[in-house]
Amino acid sequence: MDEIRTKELLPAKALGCLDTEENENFLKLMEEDSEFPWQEFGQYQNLVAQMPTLLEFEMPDPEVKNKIVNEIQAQVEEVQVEEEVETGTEQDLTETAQDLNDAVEVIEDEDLIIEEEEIIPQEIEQEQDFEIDEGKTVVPSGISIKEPEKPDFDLNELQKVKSKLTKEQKEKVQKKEVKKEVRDKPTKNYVSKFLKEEKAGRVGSNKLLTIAASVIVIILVILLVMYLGLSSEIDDNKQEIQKLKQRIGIALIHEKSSPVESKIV
Amino acid sequence: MEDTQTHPEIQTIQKIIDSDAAAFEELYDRYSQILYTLVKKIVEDKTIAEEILVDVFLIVWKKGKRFDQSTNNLYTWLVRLAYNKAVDRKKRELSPESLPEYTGEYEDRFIIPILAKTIEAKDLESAMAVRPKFEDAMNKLTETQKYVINLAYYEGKTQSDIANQLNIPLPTVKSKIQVAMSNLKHNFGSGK
Repeated sequence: MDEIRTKELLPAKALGCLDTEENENFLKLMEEDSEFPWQEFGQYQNLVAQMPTLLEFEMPDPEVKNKIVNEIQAQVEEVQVEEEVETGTEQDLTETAQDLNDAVEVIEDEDLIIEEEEIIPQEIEQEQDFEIDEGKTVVPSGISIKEPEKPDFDLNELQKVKSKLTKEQKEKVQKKEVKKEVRDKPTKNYVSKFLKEEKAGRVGSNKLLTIAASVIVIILVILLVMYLGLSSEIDDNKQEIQKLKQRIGIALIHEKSSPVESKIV
Repeated sequence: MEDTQTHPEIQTIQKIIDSDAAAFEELYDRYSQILYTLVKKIVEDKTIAEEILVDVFLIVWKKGKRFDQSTNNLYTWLVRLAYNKAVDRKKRELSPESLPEYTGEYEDRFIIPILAKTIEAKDLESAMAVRPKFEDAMNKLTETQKYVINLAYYEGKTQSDIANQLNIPLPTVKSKIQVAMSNLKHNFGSGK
């Protein structure tokens, strides 16, 4: 678009009546054209801005002022709640992160396979829901809003609130990154917590098995000893029985032979 | 251009950017009448005009830093902001499908005005001071020129809309607007 064409568009743009396509082209020219006639455009902008001075001024309803304050308060509180939820969740999760990190390292050495995605989201979602409820009850109003029948209001409190909001907004990108990190950590830690419990269960059952096996072995040993002891005693008894049998046999022989002998005698 | 540090309205907007509620209230008290009057003239509805006024001041509160303080011209920026918001609302009321979705990005590009860096400094007081002169300049225009300017400015019509409404060729409308604005500028300038 040449310079003459641009200058033709200036009055219409200042007046606000360019068609959509021409308006887009004009905005591009403003951004890209180093020869853009800024001075003339500024003159037209000021000229058109004089238009409303010719109107007969009207006062807006005093309620409008309160509406603005209410809107600002609502927005500030909304952001505050969001930030409190984020901060609270991050703190809680960060606290648990350190405690569970060791467990994660230990359990990662073992060949346990856990489906993380099935477990983690539920855990974290529950945690966040809880914090949101907590946040709503805790949030301070921070701003005094006057009732509708009082048109005048005091905006002084908004200063502090917005100041906080502005700072928070500036740190928003950083916080989101931190939040992501923290979310990742607890994810791991919730898994580790689960694994820790699993491992504890396994260790417990292993101990029981070991104790049971030990008891069985001891019982077997005792039984073996008893068996050996009894078997030797049985052998001794058997031998004694044999001896007794032999003695009885001899005695019987003597008894049988004695009548004959007596007859002979 | 005046020193930005000494201009009261520039100090006010800077305080608003720094979350000074008292400065915000001061700005509202100073500008609410002219902005409300302009907006109501465009949308022709009291309730909608009040809603737009709320939106305009919320934009000032949230996005005041988008105002280029080096221009030293908060007056033109605010009037243009209110004008853009009112025309956008009016067009959405009449034909919602004709405009893209109203997003933050849309607002930054099409609602929040960009002033020429070389624009002459102006505040509400200086604007009101030259009101009689501007009225004279307007009165020197022909009825047709005034009518076309009113159609474009207060009714928010584009050049194509005006061509359709008046049933005249688009180039004719463009030419009339160009001549009318050029004359107005000349009349206003020569009246100094």
